[in-house]
Amino acid sequence: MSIDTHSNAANDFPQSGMERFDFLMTRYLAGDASDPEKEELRRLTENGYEFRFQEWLDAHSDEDPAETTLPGKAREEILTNILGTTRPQAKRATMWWSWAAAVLLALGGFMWLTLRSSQTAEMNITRNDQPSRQDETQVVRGKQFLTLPDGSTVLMNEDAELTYSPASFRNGSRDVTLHGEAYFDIAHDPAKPFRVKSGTVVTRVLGTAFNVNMQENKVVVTVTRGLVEVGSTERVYAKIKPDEQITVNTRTEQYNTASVSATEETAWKDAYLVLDNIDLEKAGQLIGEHYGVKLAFSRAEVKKCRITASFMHHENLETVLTVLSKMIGATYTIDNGHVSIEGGSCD
Amino acid sequence: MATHKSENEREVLRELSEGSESAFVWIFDAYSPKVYRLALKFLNSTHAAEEVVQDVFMDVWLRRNKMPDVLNFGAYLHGMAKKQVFDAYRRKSNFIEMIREIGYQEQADNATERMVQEDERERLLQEAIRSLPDHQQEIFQLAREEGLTHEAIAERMNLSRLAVKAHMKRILRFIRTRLDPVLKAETLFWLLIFTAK
Repeated sequence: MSIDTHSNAANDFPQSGMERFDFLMTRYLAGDASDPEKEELRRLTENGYEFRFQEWLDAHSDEDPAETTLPGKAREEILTNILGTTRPQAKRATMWWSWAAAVLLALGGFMWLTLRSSQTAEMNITRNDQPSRQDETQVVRGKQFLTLPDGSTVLMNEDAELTYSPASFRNGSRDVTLHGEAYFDIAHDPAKPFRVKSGTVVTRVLGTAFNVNMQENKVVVTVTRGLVEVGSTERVYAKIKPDEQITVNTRTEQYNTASVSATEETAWKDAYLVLDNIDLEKAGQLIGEHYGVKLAFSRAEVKKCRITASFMHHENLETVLTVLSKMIGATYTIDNGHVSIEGGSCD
Repeated sequence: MATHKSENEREVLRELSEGSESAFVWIFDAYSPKVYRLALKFLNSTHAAEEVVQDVFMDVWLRRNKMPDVLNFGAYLHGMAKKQVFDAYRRKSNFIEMIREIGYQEQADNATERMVQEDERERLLQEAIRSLPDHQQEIFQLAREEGLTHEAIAERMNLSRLAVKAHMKRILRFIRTRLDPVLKAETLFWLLIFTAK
């Protein structure tokens, strides 16, 4: 057994989870677990401890051969199902395999994060993100759009504050702390749940899009895509699906869920126009959708230019087009809902 | 001795790749006890453990021509066994939600693209199903449209539970190859919906 690693625990979250998991797993394998304990184990497995389950599987791969073998009837049937009609006779062979020790949680690679501050500027444009590699805990405040080290994106509403540690992201935990309101679009990673802590309320997901709004006495979570689990560090309140919303009273820990229109509930974010490192062709589509116009480029090659820009308020179309044109050195004309971008280049 | 054993194993794998059923049975008998015990330990059900064994070894048989390329067969099988055991463990709970979530992840960012993707996926799926043998079509319909469990399908079609599972795996594999041009293989996890209990 090599179950003794206690690394990778998130700084801000209780470290007892792994011990609890191991405790429950031990009971489960011994056949001693009660139904609630089995359920708890299942929940833990699904919420961040999949890797631990895998480690247990590895640890049990090389046990002494017990008497238990596949019943003869099942063997016959399985062979028949696989091979067709033939019913081969048993040929017992003794061959023990050496399980390779699997390396788990092997992650790493080059990660960098970009932070764009928009404290003064309402409109915030960068042509190329400057990678900044910082390991200190990052605190990001105010209206902005940011990409986390795992590729997840966060659109922060006014007065929101997000805290996270790039180093812990690199170490495989995806935990952030939020005050205020933000919309998260989480990069899928079944092995590493993404957790948003807002006061005592913890929202756990594998890869989805959802809105968290932390107010004075309550936290409201709305899901637009995927499945989200909301709870405290001790227990799970509920799992919510798209177009569902949970409101947790942070004083009493009481909560209720309701059906909502996620589109309406997260309407605040539509005031943002986020062009996140995309090519101009795609940017043109987004702008077109946003303002109900059609964009055409006179030079096909500029469609491949990559840009990053976020417009944080309801900017008018002219402003957006002026900025965009300046970035590529082009000019634009608007005629009856048709926008032409003339000239320009990616250099 | 170790060298002798691994040489022997390579020879068996080579025979397997040429379609030798006796080589397959030899491998099955050599390795299945370990897979079975692992599954039984973690799933606490002989039925579920038998299904894991069938799944793992059906993969070996269906991919037999690739087996001589596997460097460490024991490790390879262990990886497969772990995956199947874990899948079987999770399937007992909110499997449908799990699939739904996976389905969401692989979609395009843009709503229109997403709709096109889904329509295309459904069209290819229907096309693939129509080219299945009749009894497999029936199994698929019972699982997907009527939401029947393995057991219910087995009873309805007078087949064994393991046989239904084996059919489903073949159907899944077939559909996967048909839909591959549009989607990455992993995306098709959602299709596993009808292999759930």
